[in-house]
Amino acid sequence: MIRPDRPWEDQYLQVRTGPSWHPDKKAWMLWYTGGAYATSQDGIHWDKPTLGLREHQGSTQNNLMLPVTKYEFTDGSGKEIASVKGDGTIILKVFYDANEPDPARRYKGIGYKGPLCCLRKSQGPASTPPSPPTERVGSYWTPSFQARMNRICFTMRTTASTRPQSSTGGPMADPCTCR
Amino acid sequence: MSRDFENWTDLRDCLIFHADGKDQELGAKRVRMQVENHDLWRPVYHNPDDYLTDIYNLPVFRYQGLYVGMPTVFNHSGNYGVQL
Repeated sequence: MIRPDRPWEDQYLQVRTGPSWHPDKKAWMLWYTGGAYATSQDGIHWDKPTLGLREHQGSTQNNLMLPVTKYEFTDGSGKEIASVKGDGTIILKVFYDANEPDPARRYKGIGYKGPLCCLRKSQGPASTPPSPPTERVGSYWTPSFQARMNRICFTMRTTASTRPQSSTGGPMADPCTCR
Repeated sequence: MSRDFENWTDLRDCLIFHADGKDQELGAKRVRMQVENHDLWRPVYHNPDDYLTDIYNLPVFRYQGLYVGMPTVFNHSGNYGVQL
């Protein structure tokens, strides 16, 4: 059982891939939201090793590994519903491919970098304030999300729903565009 | 699916798991229970017309000769006040 018991875990954990078995280390490896890493010998008891890789509140004494991007969103009235910042990259889906013949390529991940696809298409320069969306397309996070890591495009679900706009007012990528 | 991590099959040809009518029914029931239970957080946005259940993700891994999947089901309780 793995629980959110560290300050940087914000009281909850989410995963985007299942745990990966490392046949040489005889251990399960799990990457979870926030860019964190945990290991387990039995899939029940999990360790969160101190990696010293990424700073959180002035310290690298944590199990954070992956870079994260966070965005700012407002609802239709301009009320902020999420406000977090990052460096433009997010990798949520990491796994270990034991069958990969090249040892340097066994750790693989799918992520994205760049603007999120949002409800509306680009309607002007970056200084143009966000305007109400004109299309009812998409799912919770993105309307028809396509992203890439290296040369990989990865499409996620597409469902009818709405999505808040970026409060930055910057041009949005066209839905369904792989950049 | 991909054999080289560069060339992928069309997603429309390999849909294996999705939220069906039963999931919509159970999702709406779950949201209603949460709204009515004052010991739980009330959803910030709540509109029964916007109820929607999605499969948020499906992590899969191999274990003991089986593929084990752990689906996450996402229940929309309402939209963000955006006027369409």
